[in-house]
Amino acid sequence: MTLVPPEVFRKLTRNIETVMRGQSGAIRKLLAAFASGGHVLLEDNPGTGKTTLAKALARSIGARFKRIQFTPDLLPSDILGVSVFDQRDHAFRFHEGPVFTNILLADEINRASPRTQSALLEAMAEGQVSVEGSSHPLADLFFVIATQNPVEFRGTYPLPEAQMDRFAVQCSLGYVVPEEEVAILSAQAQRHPIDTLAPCVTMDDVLAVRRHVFGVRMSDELKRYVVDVVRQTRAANGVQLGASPRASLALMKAAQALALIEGRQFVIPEDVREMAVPVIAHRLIVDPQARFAGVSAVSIVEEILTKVPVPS
Amino acid sequence: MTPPPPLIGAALLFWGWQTGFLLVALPAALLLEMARAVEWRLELSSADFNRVADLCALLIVVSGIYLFSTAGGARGAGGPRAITLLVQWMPLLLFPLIASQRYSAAGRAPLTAFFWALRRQAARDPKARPASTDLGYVYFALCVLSASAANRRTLDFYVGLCALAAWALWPWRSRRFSLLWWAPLLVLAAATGYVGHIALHNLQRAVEQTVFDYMFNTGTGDTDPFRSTTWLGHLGNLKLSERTLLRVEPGADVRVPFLLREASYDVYNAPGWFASGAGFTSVPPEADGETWKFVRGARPGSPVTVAAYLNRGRGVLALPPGAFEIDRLAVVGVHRNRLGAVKVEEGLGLVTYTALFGPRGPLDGPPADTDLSMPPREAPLVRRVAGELALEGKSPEDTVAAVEAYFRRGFRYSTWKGERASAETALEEFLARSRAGHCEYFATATVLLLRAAGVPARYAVGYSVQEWSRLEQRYIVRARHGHSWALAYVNGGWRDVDTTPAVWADTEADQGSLFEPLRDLWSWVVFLFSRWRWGGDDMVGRYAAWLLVPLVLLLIWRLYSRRRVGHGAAVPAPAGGSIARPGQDSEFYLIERRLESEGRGRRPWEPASAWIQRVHATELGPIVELHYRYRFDPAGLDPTTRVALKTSATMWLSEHAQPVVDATR
Repeated sequence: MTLVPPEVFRKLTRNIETVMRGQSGAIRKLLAAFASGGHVLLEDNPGTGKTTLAKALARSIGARFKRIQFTPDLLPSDILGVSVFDQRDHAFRFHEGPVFTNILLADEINRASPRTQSALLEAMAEGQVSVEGSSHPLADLFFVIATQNPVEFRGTYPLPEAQMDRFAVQCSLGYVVPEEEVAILSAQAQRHPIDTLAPCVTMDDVLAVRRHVFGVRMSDELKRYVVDVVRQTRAANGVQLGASPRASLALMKAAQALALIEGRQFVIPEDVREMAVPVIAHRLIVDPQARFAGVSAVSIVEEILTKVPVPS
Repeated sequence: MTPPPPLIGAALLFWGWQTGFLLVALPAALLLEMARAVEWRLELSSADFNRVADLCALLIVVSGIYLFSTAGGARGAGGPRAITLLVQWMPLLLFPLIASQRYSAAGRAPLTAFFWALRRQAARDPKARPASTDLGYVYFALCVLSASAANRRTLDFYVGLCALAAWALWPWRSRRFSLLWWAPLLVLAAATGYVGHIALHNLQRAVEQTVFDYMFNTGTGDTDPFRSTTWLGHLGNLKLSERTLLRVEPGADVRVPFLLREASYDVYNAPGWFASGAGFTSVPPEADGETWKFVRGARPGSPVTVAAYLNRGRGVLALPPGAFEIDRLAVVGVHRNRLGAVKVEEGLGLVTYTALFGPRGPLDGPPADTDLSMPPREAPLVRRVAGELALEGKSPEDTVAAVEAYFRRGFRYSTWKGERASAETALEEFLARSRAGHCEYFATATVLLLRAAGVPARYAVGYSVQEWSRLEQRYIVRARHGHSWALAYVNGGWRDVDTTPAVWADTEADQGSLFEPLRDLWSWVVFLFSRWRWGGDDMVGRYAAWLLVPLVLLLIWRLYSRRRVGHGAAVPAPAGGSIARPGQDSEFYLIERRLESEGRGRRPWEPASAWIQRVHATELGPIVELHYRYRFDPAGLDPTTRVALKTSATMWLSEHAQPVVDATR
């Protein structure tokens, strides 16, 4: 028996929150991206719980979970897999790499070389891997959570724009309030709660939710609002490269997923506005001069949201 | 932030009324307000705005130069006046900018027009859209400021200002409070402002009076016909400026050097000379308005033409001894006193006049008792010297000759004064001990000696005409040519008695600095410009406006040549026409309108849920939910829910019929 979508989200949220305290906003965005079929980039300082969040999500679903620790000497074949000559069959056999999984945690993705980062591109966009001329499809549920540290400049390769664009949502966790931090300390005094985390929904539930997202209704007016907001980023001051139509698409899907989380069958303007910053901001390339003047991609999107008239 | 309809036009008219430019303001205001009536708009690019802004900047600079060089003459005293005038002209000078904005399709002026840095940035990155602003309220404020610069101290200005301010604030009033609150509060603010400015004015007057009393004994730059503070008793070196004050062209029969007198004084009270009973009487002009006669009828006389700067249009004229008529003097009022001082009022920055003079001038009144008075402190010494010279009983001519001879012997010219015993007066030190001093010592001692001998005498100040300028081909008088001498009443007429050794002129000339030629050249250029400016007709003023015509024509041609003239507002109409907007009849909009009328309106970018949070109307939550379903769910509402939306909205409206001020508490 499959659960109704809002119930799936409620269960997932409750389960993850037993591990990740005080991060309901980030969890909500993560689930919205997850349900809309997009991938997530978590960017925050070391030790804020990025990896824990990814692991918690994977364990809650009971899906296959693999983790790749990105290092400068990581090669594409380390991710995708490699063909090995089988002495017995006298033929090459493809050994699947860690990308053949349901939930992939790409930890510290910006520490690998751009060549290796690009290996993820096809997998994330097409849901398949091409190695030596043959394509290998990935699982139906394939979800990448990548993390990167913003402060670590030494020995990092910033993600190329194309790669950034493949992530539907980027969000950060931020530091929790002192009370929550105390609670985290108490919870982990004996053992890490993630060790006892049990799956709460099945893979079928999740796939059903994903199908449901496509059925969430969105009026033409709101689609126009999505397009207006995204288009504004291309003309905004201090932006070198605005958001692509892929961003509009991602924003629409994320808004649909959010509506589903809220238990609605249609999208309202608030859904679009809530997802606008996490969906759009990381795709913008801010002019260096504007960046020195204190302008950030987030502030640009927030300003656009206070300019474009919202349908009401 | 666009001003309400005819506000800018009204502000322009107000400006024109206050500054007297109503004839200019009327068409300008009409032109600006016409923009509402016409359909077409100009497609002005940033570059066009830059050009218009540059034109305005050029106008301001040219007007500034023009005003500074004309309003104050070369003495620079007109600087404040020039600034005031420039501020008054500002709305006119910036009119092209506001007019371009009004007729532009965008309706806003890009900021690149005003900042070079932004222009450079725009040139580097042509794709970036420059920030723009609406100049409407800025221009409105400028009009009011410029109107205030006219400084018409009437109630009209204040009332007009308050009316305009109220008008400008009207669209921004809080809708939450009724007009009964707004109007009295505004009137109260205006009244407070009025009372406050009067109090401030009184305070300033009181402070000024106090400061004036405190600093009473300070000299001014201009010759004061009532008092002359001398440097008598001043220790150290006397140094005067080499600035050129007068330009003199004497007639052929005038012998150079000669003296030009500004004023004479009769009472000595160390260290100053004072004019007693020297009230001024007005002199009526002749029919041509530029000739002023001090005696009736025509007399033969020698002419001297003098060009002098006037400080704020008034001053004391430097006249040759025995002047009886002044020609070509373009001033409104001329006044004279019994001591021969002639002052003028309301002249231009530079006056050039020809004085006719002969022996026995009518300007100096007959001698009075004060012309024989002796200051008590100096009297014993002066009497003693007079005794030594055996002046008693001599005829006035002999007395004058003896005094002149006395100063020729054993006295020398010096601008340096060393120390002096505290007990002795400056004059004692000069007569009895050092026998060296500058012209003021000689003149004062001469006057007192003549008086001791019974000859009425006065102390005169003015200039000595002695330096021929090869550059200008005329005599020039510098500030250091300032001189003082004595007037003696001999044989029924006043005579100049200058006992200062003639070497003084050379001594003064030695003080000239190395830069003197350069200064002279500059001074001459300024003089030529001033003369051209004040030389009868206002050439620059008349033609400067015409210089604008080709500039404006050029601008218009440039706009038209590129087919920049478009029609209608070019703001891209939102392509919303093609998009279905279901649910426009939702009753929620009535609620929105109600709240807006109370000043709690929704901002265009604000989603409904955030808005009801902000205006503390969270009870609207369920209605918003229904409304959202009605509006954004393509599936629409079933009839029952549609009725529920209508009922709940109507209920809310009926519950909040009264002002919602209470609901916020």
